[in-house]
Amino acid sequence: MTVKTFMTSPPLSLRPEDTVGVAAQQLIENRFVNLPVAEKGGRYVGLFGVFDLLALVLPKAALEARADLDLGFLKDDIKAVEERLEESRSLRIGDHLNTTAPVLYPESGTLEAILALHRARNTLAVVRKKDNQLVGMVSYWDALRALMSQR
Amino acid sequence: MSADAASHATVFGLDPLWLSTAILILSYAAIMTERVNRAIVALLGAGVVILSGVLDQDRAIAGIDFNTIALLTGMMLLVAISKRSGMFQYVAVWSAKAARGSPWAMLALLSLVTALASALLDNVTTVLLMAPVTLVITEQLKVPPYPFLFTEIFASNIGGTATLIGDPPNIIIGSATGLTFNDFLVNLAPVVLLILAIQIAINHLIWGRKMKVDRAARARVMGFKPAEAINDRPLLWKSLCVLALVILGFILAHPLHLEPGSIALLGAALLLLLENLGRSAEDQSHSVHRTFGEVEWITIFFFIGLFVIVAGVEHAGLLSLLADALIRLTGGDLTVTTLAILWASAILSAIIDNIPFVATMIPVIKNMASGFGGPEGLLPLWWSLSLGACLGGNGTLIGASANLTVAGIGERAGVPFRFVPFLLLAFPMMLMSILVSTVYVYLRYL
Repeated sequence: MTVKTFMTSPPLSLRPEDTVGVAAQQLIENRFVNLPVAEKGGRYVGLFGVFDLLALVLPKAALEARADLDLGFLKDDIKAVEERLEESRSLRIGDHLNTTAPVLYPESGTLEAILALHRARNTLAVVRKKDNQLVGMVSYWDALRALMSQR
Repeated sequence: MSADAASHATVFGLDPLWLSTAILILSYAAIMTERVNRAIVALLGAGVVILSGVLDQDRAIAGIDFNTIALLTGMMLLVAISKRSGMFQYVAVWSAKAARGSPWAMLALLSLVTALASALLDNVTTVLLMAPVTLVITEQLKVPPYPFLFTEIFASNIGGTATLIGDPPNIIIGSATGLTFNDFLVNLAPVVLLILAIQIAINHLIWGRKMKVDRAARARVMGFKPAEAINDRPLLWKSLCVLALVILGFILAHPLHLEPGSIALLGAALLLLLENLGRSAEDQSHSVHRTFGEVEWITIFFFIGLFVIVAGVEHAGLLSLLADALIRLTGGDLTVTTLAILWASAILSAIIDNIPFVATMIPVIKNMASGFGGPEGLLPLWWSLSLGACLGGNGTLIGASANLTVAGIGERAGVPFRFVPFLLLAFPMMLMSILVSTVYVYLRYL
């Protein structure tokens, strides 16, 4: 069994020029953790998901991994957070993509795919090896369903 | 083999003097271009020194200053553990609250805290922990973060100048000369305090007067809860106790006949023990592995390689030639030589890495001892080298590692640091600090 047998194809995808507002709408309506982002011609460029959306309301410095910062000292101010989210609504998602997530290929094996999903703790894009064209999407639910249906 | 004899021998048909000089120059050039990681360059250079026969293995190993290596490693381990307690974040948040939301008072307090922390710990770690909190606080205050980050860069390099352990050039100088923690504190801390005060006043004139915050922003800062920044209270107390013991050890190092490197490593071992006491063997392995992973091995191996390269040129006789040339150039006058070293170190350290520069200058200055009445006569030169090399790092964005660390954090948070605007402000301010140092060195030592 390869990824091709259980990937969702064609996947719901976003464009780099889509706004954060549009992306948030899609993520919430379809209950996705991540959505692949592809250019007009279909070339995959990255993922945009719930955690990228949440990062937009955080102070950027809090994302500095080496500082290991936590924000317990800040007084909770939901109004300010809402304002930040509102300000982010019109941003281009192309500037806030996750480009470091691994990708899968249609011919990738099941164990290879499960390992990638386990490591990334994420939904992953499936791309064609030769030209990086987005051809599908695999979530851990897809992998689990595929495994269960084999029994 | 003496330096003279070495310079007359040949290696692969080449004069070791020229060969070791070529290795030094090529290594310097490669380090400056930053195309290859500096640890790789230094280790390759050291390898060539040994392979070419400029130094045999025993001499090469003898050239490595293990006191410096131990001091750096020990302090890195201490910081790696103690930062997990959240103490740095606590101090930064406390400073903002103590300033009662006044941007100018916050600028001054954060400067003081950064300078003090840099005097006792390494500068990069200090700014790495201070800068992100500063960005969060300035965002809450809705004031521009650049002045705060700029000030922290300056404060870290100025504060680091005050002690033996504050900045790598001081660590190398102290280890090579036997000057103690107290020597550095007594001789450099007064001028450092003066420079810091002037710096804070200048920052007030440039930025402090113009920054205003509204009532809501001030209320947000007054609502900060510094105690919430502490992640692990038991670890905080353990860290504070061990850090205090280590500092006390540095102060008493001379009567105890202990090298600072031994004290730092012993402190690190003690804190590792306290942190891991009562844990399972597996948990201990995991925790110690994580802590060792936070040691900046690039810096450690860079030092190792560099010491071998410098030992090569020293053994071949280049550095004694340079010392003679420098004395001839300054006419053997102590005042001229001291001030020349101060200014040359400052200007060069703003452009090139001050660690290889200082490592190279130490044997050069040592070789001048006979010309200035023995090792005692060299003291003004050591203080000038330290002041020049440490403060010079403020001159440009690439002058010190702390500058690049802050710039990197700033860039990622949307606060651009550009080379030329930084230079236009920082270089004159750095020159001012060297001018103050010149007056201090002249009045106190010459």
